[in-house]
Amino acid sequence: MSDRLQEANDFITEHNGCCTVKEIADKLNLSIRSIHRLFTEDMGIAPKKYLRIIRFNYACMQISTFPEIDLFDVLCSCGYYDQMHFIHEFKEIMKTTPSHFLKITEGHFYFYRPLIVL
Amino acid sequence: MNNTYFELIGKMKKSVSIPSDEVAQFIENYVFFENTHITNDKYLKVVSNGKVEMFLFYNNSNLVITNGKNEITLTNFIVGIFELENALYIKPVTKSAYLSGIFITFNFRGVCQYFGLPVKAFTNKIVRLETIFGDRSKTLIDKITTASCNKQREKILNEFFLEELKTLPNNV
Repeated sequence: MSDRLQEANDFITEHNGCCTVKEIADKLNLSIRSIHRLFTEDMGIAPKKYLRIIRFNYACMQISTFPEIDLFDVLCSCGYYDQMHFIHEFKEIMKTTPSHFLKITEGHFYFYRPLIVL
Repeated sequence: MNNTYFELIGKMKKSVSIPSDEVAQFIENYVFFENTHITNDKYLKVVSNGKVEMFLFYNNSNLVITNGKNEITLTNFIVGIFELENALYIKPVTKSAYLSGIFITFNFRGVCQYFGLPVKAFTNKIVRLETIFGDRSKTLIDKITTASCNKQREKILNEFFLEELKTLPNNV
């Protein structure tokens, strides 16, 4: 079981979370339903939710490492449909917009995971 | 506010080691970190990175962890994957503003191999190290604490995880 999950995770990591559940299923020669079962039964999280964690981390790591970079360029490489999609997600998790957060943190908010000082 | 982020994260020193060959198939890396600019009054909201990690603190460093209601102080523990909706709040606690520790990142194969449990056993959870390794965790922490440098700590970790591979039952 863990080998399958590891294989799925290797694929997800390789794509920085920028892939679909169907692409994972194709890679592992499993059905989408089996991928759902694998993730929920072995990881306790639905695959889409896991992809969201990895993709969000990758985007945060990018903007933290390169705070001057054009947000649009980052988002394109992270698989967000558009800027608003990312801004909405960022705001939901970090409670502020990416531009405001970058301004107050000057990019110092990612240490192997996003951190918010309360 | 920017000063706080810079003090906490910008001034965090780190060194990353790759485990020995036998262990590297289960453990991605050891990250040694230290910061001499820690204030004990700041809570941090931590967003999960999708990994299962083991945290070891030493030199009088530890973390206060809260879910918003209860607080617990932990020095050595395993953190699973947290869903983005489930916030984890931590407060580094140190003496003399000096925080030092190690985090060890396991791949999913390694979680099953070393902990004898599926990844989901740690999802949205924090587990004390002694729950998994029993008295062996105390021996490990003693050695890590008394080691004089990170190179020695890396050796201690490699030896510990190699020994665990020989003694633990195989994966789930």
